[in-house]
Amino acid sequence: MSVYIFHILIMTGIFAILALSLNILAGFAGLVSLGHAAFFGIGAYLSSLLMINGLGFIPAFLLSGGITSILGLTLAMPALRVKDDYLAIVTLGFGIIMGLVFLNLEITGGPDGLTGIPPVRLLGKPLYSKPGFLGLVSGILALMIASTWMLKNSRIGRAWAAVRDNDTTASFMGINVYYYKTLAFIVSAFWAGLAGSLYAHYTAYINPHTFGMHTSIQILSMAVLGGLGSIAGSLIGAFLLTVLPEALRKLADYQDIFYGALLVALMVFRPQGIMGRVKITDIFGRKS
Amino acid sequence: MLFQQIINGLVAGSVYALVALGYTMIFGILGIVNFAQGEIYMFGAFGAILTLNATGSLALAIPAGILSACIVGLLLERFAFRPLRGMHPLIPLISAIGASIFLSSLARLMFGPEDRSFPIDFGFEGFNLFSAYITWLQLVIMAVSIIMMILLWLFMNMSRHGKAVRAVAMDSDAARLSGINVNRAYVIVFLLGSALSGVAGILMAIYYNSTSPGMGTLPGLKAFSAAILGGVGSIPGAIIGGLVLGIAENLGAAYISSNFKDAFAFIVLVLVLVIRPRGILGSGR
Amino acid sequence: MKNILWSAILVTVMVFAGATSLYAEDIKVGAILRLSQGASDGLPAKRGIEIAVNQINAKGGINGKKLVVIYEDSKDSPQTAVAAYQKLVSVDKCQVIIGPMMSGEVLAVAPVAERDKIVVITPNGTSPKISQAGQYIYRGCTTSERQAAALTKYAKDKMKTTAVAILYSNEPYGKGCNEQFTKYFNELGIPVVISESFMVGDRDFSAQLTKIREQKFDLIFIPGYLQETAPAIKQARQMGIKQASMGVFGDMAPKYIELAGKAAEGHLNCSEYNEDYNTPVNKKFKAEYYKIVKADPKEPNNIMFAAITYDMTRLVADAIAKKGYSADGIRSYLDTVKDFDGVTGRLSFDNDGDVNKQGVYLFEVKKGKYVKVQ
Repeated sequence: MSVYIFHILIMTGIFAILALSLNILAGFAGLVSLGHAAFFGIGAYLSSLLMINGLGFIPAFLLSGGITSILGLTLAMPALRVKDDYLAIVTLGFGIIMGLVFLNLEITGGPDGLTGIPPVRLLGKPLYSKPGFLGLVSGILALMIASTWMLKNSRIGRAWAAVRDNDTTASFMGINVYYYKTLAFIVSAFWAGLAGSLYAHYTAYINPHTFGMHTSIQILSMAVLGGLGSIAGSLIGAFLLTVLPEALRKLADYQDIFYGALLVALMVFRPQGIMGRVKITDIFGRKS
Repeated sequence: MLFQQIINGLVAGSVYALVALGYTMIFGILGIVNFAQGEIYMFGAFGAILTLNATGSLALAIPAGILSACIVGLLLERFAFRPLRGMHPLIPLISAIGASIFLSSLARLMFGPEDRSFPIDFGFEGFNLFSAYITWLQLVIMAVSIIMMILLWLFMNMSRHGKAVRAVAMDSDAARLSGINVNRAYVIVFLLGSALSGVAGILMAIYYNSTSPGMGTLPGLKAFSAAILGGVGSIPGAIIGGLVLGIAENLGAAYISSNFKDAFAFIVLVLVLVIRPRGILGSGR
Repeated sequence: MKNILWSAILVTVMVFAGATSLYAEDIKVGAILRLSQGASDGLPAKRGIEIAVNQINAKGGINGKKLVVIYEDSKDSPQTAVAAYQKLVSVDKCQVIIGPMMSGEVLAVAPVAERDKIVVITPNGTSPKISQAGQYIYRGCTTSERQAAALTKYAKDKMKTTAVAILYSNEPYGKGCNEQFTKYFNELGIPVVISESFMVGDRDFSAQLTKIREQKFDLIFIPGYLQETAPAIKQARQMGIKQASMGVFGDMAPKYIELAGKAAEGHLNCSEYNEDYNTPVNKKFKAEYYKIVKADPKEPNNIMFAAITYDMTRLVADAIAKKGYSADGIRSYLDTVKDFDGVTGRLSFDNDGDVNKQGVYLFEVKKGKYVKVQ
C-alpha cells in the first residue's frame, strides 16, 4: 500500500514542477503553451543520455535544465512574433515536431525508447528507495516554489504581469516586452527540463509517448484548473489530476467518461481555477 | 510523381479544410478553441453508419449523420461552453478537452472499440489527368468542400442570421443593444460548425472505409492548424490553410522523409506565422 | 481553503477505499491490458483470461482457493501502466502480472518489477529489447524474429519474390518488423528497394504509396496494426499497386478483411494461433470464445489475442498449484516447464523468458477467409 502512495506522491511532485513551470509562462507572463511536454522530454532524454555516457547525476541534472532552457530560448524567437491563439498553435507545432524528433532519432532509441537509465546517485549511492526519492522531489519542488515566489514578487514578476495584462501599455511604460517574454520561456523551460531529468531517472525508462501532446494538455489542465498565476493552485492542480485518474480506476470502463465530465464540471463551476484570484462575483458580473 | 503528390495533397487538404471550416466558425466568432470538434466529426460518421446499417438507405444516412453531429454540437454549446462565455479563452479550452475525453470514451462504450467499415463500397474508379490518377470519390470530396465554402459564405454575407452572427463576432455587447439575440447567434454558429464537421466525418468514413471512436483526434488537430494558418475567422482562409497543409505534408513525406510527415505541416505553419503573424488571410480581430 | 482541503482528503479516500482485499483466501493475479485505447485488442485478451479463470474456478480453483484476476487499464501509456503496476503489487499484493500489452509499457514496468521481484508476463510485447529486460520478465508471444524467418522463407521459396517494398507503422512493433524483415530478406538475397513509414492513427497513405509505386518490386510488406494496415492495402490497390502483399500477426483478424474488402485477397500473413489445432483444450476454448463474441455485436473478435492470454493464465495457475503463490515459485516453474499443452502449441520458455512454440502458422486470404497455407 505505502509504495503505491509514495509512487503517486512522487508523480504528483514531478507534475507539480511541470505545472508550476508552465504557470510561469502562462500565468505570470500570459504566454500559453500547448507544447510544454516537449521541454519535459528534452530534459528527460538529455539527462538520461548524459548519465548513460558516464556523467554523474548532479552535472547531468543541472545540464538537462540548462540546455533545455537554451532550447526554450530558440522556441521563444518564432513564438514571440505571434500572440494568443497563434502562440498556442506555434507551441503545439513545436511539441509535435519535438515528438517526431524523439521518435525518429537513432540516439533516443526511436519508438522503443531508452532503456537502462541509471538511477539518481547522491553521495556515491544509488537512490532506489521511494521515500528517499520523494524527499529529493520535494526538496527541488520547495526550491522551485521559493524561487518562483521571489521572482513573482520582484521587478521581473511585476514586469511579467504588466506584459500579460497588456503588452502595448507595458512597452509604453518602458518595459522591454521581448526581453521579459524570452526570460519567461527560459525560466519555464529550465524547470521543465529538471522535471524531465527527475522523471527519467525515477522510471528508468522513457519513450516518445510520454512526451506527446496529451501530456502537454495534461500539464496545461493542471495549471488552469489550479488557477493561473497562483503557485498553490499549480500544486493543487497537479495533485488533483494525478490522483483523480487513480481514484477513478474502480469505475473500470467508465473512468474516462467521469474524468472528462469532471473536467468540464470543474471549469463550469469554478472557472477561475481552484486558487484563482478572480472573485466569483466578478465572473458572474461579466456573464450575460 | 510531383503532380500526383500535389493531387494527393489537395484531397487530404480538402478534408482538413472541411473540418477547418467548422473550426474557424466557432473559433473565429466565439474565440473558443473547440478541442472537441474532432469528436463532433466522429459522431457524424457514426450517425451515418448506424443509420445506414439499420435502414440501408444512403439518402437517410447522410442527414442522420449531420443531425447527430449537430446534436452533439448543441449539447456541447449548452453545457460545456455557454456557462463559460466571456472568460479567458483558456477556460473553455480546458472544458473542451474534458468534453473531448468524455465524448470519445462515450463513443467507445456505445459503439464498441473496433473500427467499422462503411457498408457501401464506392469503389475506386477514376480517370487520368495528365500524369496523375484521380478517383471520382476524390473529386466529390473536393467539390463538396468548395460547395460548402460557397454556401457558408453566402449565408454569412447574405442572410439576416448570418449578418447577426457577424455583428456578434465584432462586438457582442453592441449587437445585443441593437436587438440581436446573442444566444441565438451562438447557437447558429455551433449548428453550422457542427454540421460542416458532420459532413466531413461522413465523407471520410466513406473515403477511408473506417470509422472508430478515435478517428477525430488527428483531423481535428490538423484542422485547427489549418484554421489558424488561413487566418482566424476567415472562410476562404480555412480552405487555403487546409490545402496548404495537405500539400506541404504530402510533398515533405515524398521528397524528404515520411518519418516526419506530420512535422512538415507544422513547420510550414510556423514559417508562415513568423512572416505573417495573423495567418494568410487573417485581418485581426 | 477549507473546501480544498476537504476535497483533497475526499479524493485520497476515494483512491484507497475499496482497494482492500476481497477475501483473504483468494489468489489474486494482476492484469494490465489495453481496455480503453486499443480495446479492440485488449478486450479479446481480457476474454482469454476470463475463460481460463472460469474453467479453473469451475474445477474448484487452485488447491481449493479461488483465482481472481484484477484488471487495470494501461490507456496505452507507459506512465499509466507503471501506476497500474504499483497499485496491483502494493495494494492488491499480486505476485504476478499478465500484461502490459505494448512494448513501451512492458519496458517501463520491467525495471520496477525486476527490482521488486515480481513476475511480469507480456502477452504481445514484440520488441527485441524485452528479451533482455530482466529475469522476471516473460513473453507469451513469439518474437518478430521467428515471424520474419517463416514469412521471408515462404516469400522466397513459394512466391519467388525478387524485390520487396516495405511500408511500416512507426511504433515499436512495426519498426522492429521493418528492421528484422529487412535483415532476413537481405540474407536471402532479396533486396528491399524502398522502406517508408506511417504513424499510428494515419488513414491517408497516398504520399508514401505514390513513392512506392514508382519502384520495381514484386511484394509489398506492411507490418503494423490492422487499423492502419487494412486501409493502407486498400489504398495501395486503389492506386494500382497490384503486387502480392504480406503482413504480420497484427492483421490476423476478420476485421482486417472487413476493412480492406477485396484488397485483402491473396494477403499473406502469420499467426500464433491456429483455430483448427486439434486438441481437446483448444476445441473447448474456441467454443467458449465464440460464444462470447456472438453474444454481443460490439464485442471485438480477435481470437489470437485471447488464445495467448488464455495460455498464459493457465500457465500461471498451474505454476501456483505446483509451487505455491510466490513470484520466485512462478519463475522457477516457468523456467522449467516443458511441453505445456496450450492452445497456441506446446509451450516452454527459453533463457531470456521468451516463449517457445512449435512455430508460427502462415495464412492467406482466399475468398474473404483466412486459409492456412503451411
